[in-house]
Amino acid sequence: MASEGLEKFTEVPVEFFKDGSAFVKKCTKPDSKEYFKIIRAVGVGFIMMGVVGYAVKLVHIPIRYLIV
Amino acid sequence: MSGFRLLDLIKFFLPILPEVEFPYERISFDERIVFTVGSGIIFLFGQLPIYGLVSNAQFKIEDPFFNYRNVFAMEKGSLLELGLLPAITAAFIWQLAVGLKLINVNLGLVQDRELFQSGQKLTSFLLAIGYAAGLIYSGYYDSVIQGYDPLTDGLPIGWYVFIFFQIVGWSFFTTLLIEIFDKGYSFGSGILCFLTLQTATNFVRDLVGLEIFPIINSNKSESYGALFNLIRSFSFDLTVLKQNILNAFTRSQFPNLTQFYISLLSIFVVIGLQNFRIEIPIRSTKVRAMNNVYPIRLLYCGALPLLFTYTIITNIQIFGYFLVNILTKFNISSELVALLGKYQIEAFSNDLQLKSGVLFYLSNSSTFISSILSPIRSVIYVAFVVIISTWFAQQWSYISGASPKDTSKQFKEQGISIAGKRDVSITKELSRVIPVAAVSGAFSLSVLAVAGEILGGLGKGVSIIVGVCSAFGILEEFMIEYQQTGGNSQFSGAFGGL
Amino acid sequence: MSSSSAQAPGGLRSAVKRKSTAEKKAQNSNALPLSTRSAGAGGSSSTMMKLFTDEAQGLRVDPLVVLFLAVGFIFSVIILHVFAKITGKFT
Repeated sequence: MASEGLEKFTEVPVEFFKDGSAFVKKCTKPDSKEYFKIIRAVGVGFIMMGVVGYAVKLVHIPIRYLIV
Repeated sequence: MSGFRLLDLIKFFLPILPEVEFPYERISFDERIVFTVGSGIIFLFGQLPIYGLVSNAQFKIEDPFFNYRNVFAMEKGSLLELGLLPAITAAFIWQLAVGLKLINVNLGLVQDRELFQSGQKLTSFLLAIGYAAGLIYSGYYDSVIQGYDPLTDGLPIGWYVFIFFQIVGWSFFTTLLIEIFDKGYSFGSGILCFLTLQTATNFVRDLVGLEIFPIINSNKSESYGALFNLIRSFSFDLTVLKQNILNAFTRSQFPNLTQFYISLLSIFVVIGLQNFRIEIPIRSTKVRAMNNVYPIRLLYCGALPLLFTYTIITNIQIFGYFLVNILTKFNISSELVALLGKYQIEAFSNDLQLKSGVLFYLSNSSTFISSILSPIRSVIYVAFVVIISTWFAQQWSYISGASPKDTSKQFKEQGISIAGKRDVSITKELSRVIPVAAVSGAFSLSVLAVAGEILGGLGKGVSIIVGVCSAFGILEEFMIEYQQTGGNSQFSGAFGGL
Repeated sequence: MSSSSAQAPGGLRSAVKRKSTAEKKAQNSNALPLSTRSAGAGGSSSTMMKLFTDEAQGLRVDPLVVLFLAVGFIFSVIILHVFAKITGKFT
């Protein structure tokens, strides 16, 4: 399968682009309302995770002062 | 199945390999949250400075891997020095080797599956030992070991042993923490969960990091967070303000705002791409009136192709660094070593920049200007990343267990078929869509990542892409679990408030 | 959708039972599976990279023990730091 895939890859990059662009055109794309909803959901989740993680990291500061 | 197999070698190590117990009962939703958060916090605690180094060692180490740290949660001068690199490398090596039939394994047999899994763990341990030994041997820590002067003193063997055991020990624990995730005690996959956590933490830290560190080779100090530093140094004097803003975008010892905007842009684009999908109409073969759609995403492989590519690049760079140092120690002529790679220290950040050699062409530039100044390197680098990721996506869509064949089998088990198609042609229909989706998805993702790198993202764009994609996967698993548990969870009240 | 719902929680509760059905399933298909997931045992899916989804032989440890040991490791490093600091002060 490996060589077959590789052959396909080197021989027909043009076809790859044609297939790809056709696929992207066919895709259902999110409309702006859906997009912003997802951005908000993921953004909130991501930032929340980051803040919690950073809070843990902040604990490191006094520890560093104490021990190093 | 006769003859010698590589897999059988692992049997000798089985009795000493620690193995997290399989959950015999279904882990409840609440327990899973506790396990996820607990191991996440413990993982982050691994960023404790290594015992034996001078204080603020993370700014004094001459660092050749500054481009890749973000992607693998490798924290300079801390217990997480190796980050997730050993585990990720081991996983890719084994899963690709089996998928491409490079080694002889019958995963249908429980025994082989057990050996396969233990093989991944063993490889991860061995890689950790190899990386740690290589780093120490290469003199990576020499400039920061307490009370050691490389010019006058002999080899500080005692310190070396201490450092080695700290890094390797923590790497072992990281692997075991990943195992806790993967065995079903937590949500998602261990590797991706930790990467997401690390990326999110760094994203926040880069922007509003409160810690104040001294700037190397000067007597000033600045805050870690780019935005926070800008606010802290705010002044009404216009020339000073201008200078400060310029500094916020260009400083190189600490994260700067350019990287932040690249990350932000990457997030927006990835979220958009993540929702590109082809919806295949499906109908149930059991219930008449049930019609639905089965989405096949453009990013069929998520961020794995990108992660794979960077695993390769980082490994090349690390082993290249070892090789350069080993060759130098054996007094090979410096012209020959320069063919492989030549490092030069950058005074503002203590980063070891590659200046020439083979390794140079497989590294990214740290600023937009330097990528324009060395166009050949940029082109080679871009081509390498894009080609490897698309190749991997093509392979992975067949070997990951979500191939057209597997999916159609799954359809059959659940009594689903594609509307207007016979059962037999499901596989054919799916294999028309899935590989194309995987390949074009990986292509667009890698182009996005590389664009960020060329503009000077220093791996931040890449890590953000991996992080956001993984966050989607984890969120999905979390939501499914949440809906199945219904309301009987202690935490659901808390989530309802959001 | 494809990745997570495949594991089918519920149903067969005990791991032993699940394993034996997985084995039966594997025997039915004659082709060699290319990943642990297509062998019916979990493992990496298209978007999720998973390493350890099977039960293997070896030194069995409880996940809580792993967490405690990890914390213990961290503490031992902290204690090393503290010792270094104290002895550094007095000598």
